[in-house]
Amino acid sequence: MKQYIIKRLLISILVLFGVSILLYGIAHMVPGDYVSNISSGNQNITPEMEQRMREAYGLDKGPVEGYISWLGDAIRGDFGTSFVYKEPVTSIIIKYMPATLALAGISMVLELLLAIPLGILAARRQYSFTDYTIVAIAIVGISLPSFFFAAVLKRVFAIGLGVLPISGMVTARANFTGFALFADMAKHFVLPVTVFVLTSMGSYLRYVRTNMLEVLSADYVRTARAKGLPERKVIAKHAFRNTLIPIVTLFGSMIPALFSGAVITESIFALEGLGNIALKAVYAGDIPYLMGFNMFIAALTLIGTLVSDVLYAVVDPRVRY
Amino acid sequence: MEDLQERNQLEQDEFEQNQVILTPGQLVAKRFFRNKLACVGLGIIIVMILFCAIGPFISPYGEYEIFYINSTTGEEVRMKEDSVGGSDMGINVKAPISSAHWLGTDADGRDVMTRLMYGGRISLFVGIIVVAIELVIGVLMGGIAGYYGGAVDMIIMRLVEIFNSIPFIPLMLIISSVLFASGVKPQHKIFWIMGIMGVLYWAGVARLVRGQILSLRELEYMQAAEATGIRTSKKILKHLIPNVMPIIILIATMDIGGVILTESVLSYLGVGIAWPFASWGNMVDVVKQSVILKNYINIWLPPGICILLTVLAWNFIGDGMRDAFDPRMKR
Amino acid sequence: MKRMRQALALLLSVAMLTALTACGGGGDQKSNEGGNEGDSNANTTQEEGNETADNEEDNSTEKESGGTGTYDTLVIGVQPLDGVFSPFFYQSAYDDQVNSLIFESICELNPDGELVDNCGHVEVKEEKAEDGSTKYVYTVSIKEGMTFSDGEAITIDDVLFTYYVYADPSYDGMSTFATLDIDGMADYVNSEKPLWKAISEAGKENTDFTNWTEEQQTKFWEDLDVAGAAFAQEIVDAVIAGQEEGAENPIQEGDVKGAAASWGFELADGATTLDFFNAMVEQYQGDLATLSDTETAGSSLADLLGETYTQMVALSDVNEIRGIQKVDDYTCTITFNSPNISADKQVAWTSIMPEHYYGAGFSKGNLDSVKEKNTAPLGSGAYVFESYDNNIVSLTANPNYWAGEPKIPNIKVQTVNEEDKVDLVLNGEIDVTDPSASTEIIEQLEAETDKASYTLVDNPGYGYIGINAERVPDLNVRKGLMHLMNRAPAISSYYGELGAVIERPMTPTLAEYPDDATEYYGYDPAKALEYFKAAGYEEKDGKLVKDGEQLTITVGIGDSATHPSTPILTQMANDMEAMGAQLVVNDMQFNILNTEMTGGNLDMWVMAWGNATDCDLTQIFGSKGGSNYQRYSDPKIDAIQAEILKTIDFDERCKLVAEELDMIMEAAVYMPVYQRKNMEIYNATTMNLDTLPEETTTYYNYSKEIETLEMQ
Repeated sequence: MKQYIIKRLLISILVLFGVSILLYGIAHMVPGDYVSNISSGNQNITPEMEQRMREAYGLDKGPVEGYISWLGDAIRGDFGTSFVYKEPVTSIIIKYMPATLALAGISMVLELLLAIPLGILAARRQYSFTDYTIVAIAIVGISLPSFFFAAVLKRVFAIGLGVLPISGMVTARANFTGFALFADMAKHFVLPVTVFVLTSMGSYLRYVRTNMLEVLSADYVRTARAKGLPERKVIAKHAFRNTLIPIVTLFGSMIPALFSGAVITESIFALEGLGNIALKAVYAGDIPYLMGFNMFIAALTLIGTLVSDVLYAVVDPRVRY
Repeated sequence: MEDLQERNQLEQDEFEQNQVILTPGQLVAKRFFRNKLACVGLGIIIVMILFCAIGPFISPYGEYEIFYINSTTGEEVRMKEDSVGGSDMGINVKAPISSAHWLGTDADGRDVMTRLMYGGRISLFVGIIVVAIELVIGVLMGGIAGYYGGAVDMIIMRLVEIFNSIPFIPLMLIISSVLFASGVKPQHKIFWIMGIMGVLYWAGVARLVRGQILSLRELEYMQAAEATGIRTSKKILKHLIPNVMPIIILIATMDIGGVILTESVLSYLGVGIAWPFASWGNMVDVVKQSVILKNYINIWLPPGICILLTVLAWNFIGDGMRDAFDPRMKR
Repeated sequence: MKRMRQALALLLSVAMLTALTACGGGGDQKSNEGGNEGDSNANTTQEEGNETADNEEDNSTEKESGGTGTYDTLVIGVQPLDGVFSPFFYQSAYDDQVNSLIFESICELNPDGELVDNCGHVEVKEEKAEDGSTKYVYTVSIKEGMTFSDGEAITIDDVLFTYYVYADPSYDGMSTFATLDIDGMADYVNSEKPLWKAISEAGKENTDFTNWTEEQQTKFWEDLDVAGAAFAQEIVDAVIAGQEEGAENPIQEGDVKGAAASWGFELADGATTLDFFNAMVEQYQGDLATLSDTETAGSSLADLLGETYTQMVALSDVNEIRGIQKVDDYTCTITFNSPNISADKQVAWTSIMPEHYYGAGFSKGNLDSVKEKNTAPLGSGAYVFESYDNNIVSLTANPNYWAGEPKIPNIKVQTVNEEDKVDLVLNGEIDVTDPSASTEIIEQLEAETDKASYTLVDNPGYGYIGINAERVPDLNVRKGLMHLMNRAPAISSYYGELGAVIERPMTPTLAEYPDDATEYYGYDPAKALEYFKAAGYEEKDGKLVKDGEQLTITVGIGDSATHPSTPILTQMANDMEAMGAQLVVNDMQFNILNTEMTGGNLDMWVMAWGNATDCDLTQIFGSKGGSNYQRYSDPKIDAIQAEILKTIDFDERCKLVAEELDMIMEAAVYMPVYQRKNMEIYNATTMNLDTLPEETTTYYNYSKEIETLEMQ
């Protein structure tokens, strides 16, 4: 196993390198460059000024030279300065990471806590009322766009009943610190987390249920029951482990999702997280930020895949590499 | 004695003759239709298809026809008439439900019901095509990777990772501008996008399939298959993949819904359904404007319900199919 | 299983309870979230004051010092911020909203948009110089005895420092100060340049070797030939590669003349890549920078020349701008070589930046130390910057403010979503914000006058439809297209009374806008058809064709689902179809629309202009204008524009502007569509509405009188 992990890590570096070329190409092909975007509404910008700005931002270099200079800096850990925020890319990512991480992390935990038990329950009671309701709720969650739920929940809870704040991360008017601040932020997170969980829980639930259905009709489960084991043990010790493979796969892809944020939800609730910033960067043509951020996510994706693969072997001893 | 034997033989013959022999296909179908939910799902899809295929012929309005209203007389005027240039002409935006417009008009003055019908065509179609493409590629790649393992697995999975690292929105923006530059007509953009989405999504499918196969290929029946010396392709196609079928069906039915939703994001990026054509996705999109959310339920609720019903229906059908194909089902 | 479920339910309820109880006790939730005030002015930063933790459950609304009433914090809602809080380098108008609270400018605009004194004064005098030319001398003076928020005195040196940052050769912000015709400005700005630019502009015959050696110069011209040939080769390769397969006369490899021809340059037979390059240089009259920018097929000339030539070289030791002179500690003069109608705004409508803070480490050509302070601004405005966390900018009142300490002790500027602005005010979470006006919102506000009040102001911009005169060269066709734009019903349905159709392509809030302008091209499909026929189109088999090609126009529009011009295009498409022509509508994402428009790939496009503060239209309609995307040039328009810039007399200028706009309309390249209203809404339950300014206009709002604003 250790050899396998090491081999994978080495190959990942190669992959990252290839991905960086791809990403750089994409970042440059996105239409509109930064200078023309910011001067588009300004009636007074002269061509000379645009040219000067282009030089200042290094946008007058061709893609190949630009990539090489980016690579040279990146290897040393310098991902450049964002055009939009005028700060180093790494410090921007670190600054906004906590909010995104908190939101995504809490949501992920809740999703798993809800999806797994409910999925198992639905599988055990297949074709019963419980099963239908659970599946219906899961499907409603994944069949409507997230902004739909966000808008409706906002309407009902924030505007209609007034028990939760409409948007933002903290109450601006007050000056909370310490625990009060934490509680205030928690309150502001309730709606976004609900939207997140609602929209993603459904798919996990369905995977769990499907696999569980498979497993529950298997012979070894029948044997376990025949042996007189309590149902709880049958499920927990025998059946459940065999349903884990797809969950582990999805778990691996959740890791990059933790950081890439949910663009739509963040913008609806005015939370400044990495997703929203990345979107702004795309539209503005902020190449340094795009490169830094996408490379970060790419690295996480590779790590996520590795984690999934390792967990396969842990969860299912039959798996061999 | 002989009499008895003859009688038994006759009984047996009769019994055999009266036995209804079903082909596997018929067996699956029978089990499928016994599942009430699956039937409901199928019914919904058929109703939707009829609604979207025939409806437009019944509606007197065009898909993107705008309706003017004479602000003094309150009389509605259609786009093709000459008086639309008049000075007291306004556009009949956000009109309430009436006998002329069963679901009112939207923020651009177009009939909602008609657009719902046209929109469904796209939404129903898009889901199926994209899922078909992604399944074909994804299952094949995942199967090969999972079965062979080793170097093949390594290469294919690295490819998957590369695909997964591509940021979605910048890619869509690039494609949008490339499509424009190559002079693709706006109506045809959606076909290109369907192809591209199918090609992008195979990665996720491949990973899930491969994961399942990693555990399945060590089972005894696979060892048996190996022992009998069956051709590799047959092993993969006829033995492994059918056992991965439940997951595949699940992916298919869930992605159909996901694609419909993604399409609504795409139109915002300029790569989805071209203006002025309708799709359920871009009709539901207006819910972001709180004015419409609050005051004009007739504009956003119908497409939302249509999407919901369609996705639900596909999921029920998927469940039914999975149950029907499963040889271990007791019922 | 059961236990798992129970645990789950418990966990969820605990989570929900924690969230809900953090509301801070009973307190009515309806109209004021403000029941949760912490301390007032003393401990406003997040880090300090752990005493405030106790107040979280506190429902009491008594304040300590500072505010006179129950509320001591004004919460302003803005669109997402970039966080660049520096008047030098900000790009976003929302960042600038924050800047206007932290920094103070010498003069400001009054409600009518005229420049008036704020904490200083400007006036102009014409003077005759020694060589007989007329100079325009602006005298800028500031009040004595003012200090920045950290106590340092404000002198004219700070103003001069501000000017020098804007004029710096490496300045890359939005200000156009460096393009002004101030005596000596050009010399200063050009005193540093990349080496290749410097040498190329000096020319081959240059004999002045103060900044580079003769060998360097000779080598440069040799290297330039090589780089130029490579540059041209790239173009040839690109042309050949981009050809369609099976084209009629394919350009062969190595056929430089053929490739150049398709790129727009005529060469003699057997031309080489170097000849190609030289032909380009001739056309651009030696301006290598613009040449490289415009004609590049991949790499720029700078790339091909290599690193040694991109280093900055000091061309002259001009370290001062002649025309900017200090007179005494509170006065300076700025001398312009030519009249400029917005000169006074350029020199006096600027924030005073503290030299002792931003100038530490500043030297010509090096603005890094200034940029470092983008996120820690310091100024002399009414409020002091404390922090920017969690999407909220925290500001406290500046006790050293020259007009008196502001009545409201704290301001928080919070990012909000456009759609939520109205609800946030009604809910009490926000006090002031500026949603886009719509009739439904007005109805909603009219029903809740005890919670909110609003004012409407004109937006200082306008929406239009533009036509690319290079792609649609026939004036008759353009006029025909203009007659197919049915603007009135679309705008009145979309905006109601909150938007108006305008008839001339200039922001109507400007004083020079001809209010009596009449409609130039009314909606008249019959006339349109006449114009098309006059252009040579005939009806054949139900199609409108000329030389065998059907009349097809591509138009680009962004976010069509919410754009008021969408019905105009729908109607136009319908009418053209009825005539046998075709309108292809491309709904594009805004960036792409922008790129295609600037790249000249669209026949028509729907866009809007934003903020305009003067009637100078040279960039949009002048032949050399940087924003002249309609690619239309008319020397008569250029002439009248030059005239306008020199005309200081207001009435004269109005007449000339009206003439200029009529000429532009006649050219049928811009159809002005609408101008809408913006809205500001105020929270009636937390603010003392009587202290709002009497007149809120496009140029003047509550932030200009922020020091006298009070809360309840």
